[in-house]
Amino acid sequence: MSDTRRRMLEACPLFQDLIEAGVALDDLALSCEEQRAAGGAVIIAEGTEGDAMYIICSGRVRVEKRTLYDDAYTVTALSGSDYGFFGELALLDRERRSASVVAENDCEFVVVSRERFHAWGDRHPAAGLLATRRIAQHLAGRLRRANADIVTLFSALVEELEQRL
Amino acid sequence: MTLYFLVTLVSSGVLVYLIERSRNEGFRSIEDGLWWALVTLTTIGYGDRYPITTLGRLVAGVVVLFGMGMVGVATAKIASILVERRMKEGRGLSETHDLRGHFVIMGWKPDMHLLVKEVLAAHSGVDAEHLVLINSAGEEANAVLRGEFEGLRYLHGELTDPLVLQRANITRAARVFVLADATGGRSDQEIDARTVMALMNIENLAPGVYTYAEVLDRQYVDYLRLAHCDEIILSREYGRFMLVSASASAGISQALLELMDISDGGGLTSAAIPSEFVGRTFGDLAAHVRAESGRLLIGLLENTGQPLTIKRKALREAQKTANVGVLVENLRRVKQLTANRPVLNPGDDYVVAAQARALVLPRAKPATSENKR
Repeated sequence: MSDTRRRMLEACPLFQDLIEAGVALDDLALSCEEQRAAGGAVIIAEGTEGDAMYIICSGRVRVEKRTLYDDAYTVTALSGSDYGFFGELALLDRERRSASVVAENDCEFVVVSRERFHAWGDRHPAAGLLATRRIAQHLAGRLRRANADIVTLFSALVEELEQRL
Repeated sequence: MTLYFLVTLVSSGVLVYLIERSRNEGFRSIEDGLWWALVTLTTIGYGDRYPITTLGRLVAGVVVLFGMGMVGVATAKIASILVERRMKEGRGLSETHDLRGHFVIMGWKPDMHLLVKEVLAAHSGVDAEHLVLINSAGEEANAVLRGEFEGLRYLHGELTDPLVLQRANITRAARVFVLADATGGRSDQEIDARTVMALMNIENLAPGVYTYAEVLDRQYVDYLRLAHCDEIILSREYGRFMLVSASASAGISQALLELMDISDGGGLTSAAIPSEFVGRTFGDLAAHVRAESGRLLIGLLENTGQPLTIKRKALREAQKTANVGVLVENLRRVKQLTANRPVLNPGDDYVVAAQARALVLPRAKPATSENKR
C-alpha cells in the first residue's frame, strides 16, 4: 500500500525534487494516510480549521466558495488524472480553510498531516527544505495573482469614483 | 363605554338570576340571567324569559332605561364615525393603511376621468379600490371622479410633500405614476422640477416601487434617471412626433394611433416568453409566436420586471466567479443594466435573454382584413 502512496507523492508537483532523495520519500509515504470519499461528500468545509493536505489519486473534486450573498460557486475542479492537490496551506500554519472542497464522484486521496510533515522535515532537513521551497513557490504564484487582482479592483474603484466626481 | 356595558350586563344578569331563580322557570342558571341581560340591554327583547317577581321587574325596569340610553349613544357614535370618514374621504383624507400593491397616481389633468378609466381598463389586475389619487385639484373635482369610480381613494396634497406619500402608504404600493400637473399656472420648468422632486421623495421612501413619470421638457430626463425613475414618458414629444411624422409621410399617424390603442385587444403589447425559448434565437421565437397565435413578433423588451429586483439578481450572479477581472466586468455590466430596454427587430439570430418579454402585434380581426386572398 505504501507503494501507491509513494507513486502519488512522486507524481505530486510539490514533491518532484525529492525523486532523487529516495529514502526521504519512502519515509514520507509511510507518514501519510489514505482516505476515500463518496461522490457529494464535503472533504473540506470553508471556515473550519485545517491540518492536512490532500493529493487526489483518483476521482474529481470541485473547489467551492461563497459569495457575499452566500451563494456557492465553483472556483475550479481538480482531478486525480492531473495530480491535483489541495489544502497545501494547512502544511504551513493553522488557519481556517479558505474554500470548501466537495467530491464530485468516488475519490481516493493521500493525506499528509501538518504534524507528520513537520516531523518528517525534522528527520530529513534537506528534503524538507526542497518540499517547503516548492510550496513557497506555489504560494508566490498565488500571491502574484492576488496582487494583480488587487490592482484590478483598485483601478475599478478609482474609475467608479472618477465618474462620481 | 364598553366597560360600563359589561359591568351593567354582568351585575344585572346575576342580580335578576338570584332574585328570580326560586320562582321562575326561565332563570335556571347564571347563563339564563346573563342572556336575559344582554337581550334586554340591547333593547332587542326576545321575551324568551322575563322576571315575574316585583323586585325582579324593578331591576328590569332600570336595565331597560339604561339600555335605551346606551344603544342611543352607541348608534350615534357609529353614525358619527361613518359620517366623519365620508367627509374625510371627500376632503382628501382617505385611509390607505389597509392597501397593498396599489397604484398611486400623483397630479391632475383636465381629462383625469378618461385617464383613470383607461388605466383601469389597461391594468386588468387593478380595480378602483386599489387606486389612490394624490393631487391638489380640490374637493369638487375629485368628488366627480369618486362618484364615477366606486372605492377610489383621494388624498389632498402637494406632489412635493413627503408626508402625503406616507399617507398614501407608498412603501406598500406597486406602482406610482407622476403626471405633469399643469394646475396652478406653473411654467413647464416648474412642473418638471416638481415631478423630479416627487420622484426623489418616492425613491427615498420606497425604493422598490415601480415609478412612471410624465415630463414636458427633455432636459429633465437625466434628473429623473438620477432619481431612479423606471419609466419616463415624454408626452409632449410624442405629440410633436406624431405631427411631424404625419407631415412627412401621409397616413402614418393613423397607423401609429392604432399601434398605441390597446383597447379591444389590439395594439402593441408585451407578452411573456415561454421559458424554453430563453437562450434560443429571436427567429425561433418569432416562428413560435406566429404559429401559436398568429401574432407578429416585432422585438424584445429586455430586463423587464421590477428594476431593483433585476439588479439585485444580476448582482448576485455577478459575484459567482473566482476571477477578479471577470468579476469587475460583471459588476460593470450590472451597473449599466437598463430596465425595460426595447430591442426592435434584432435579426433572426439574436439570442433571447432571460427576463425579456416579447413585443407583439395581435393578428387583425377578420372584419378589418379585407384584403384576404
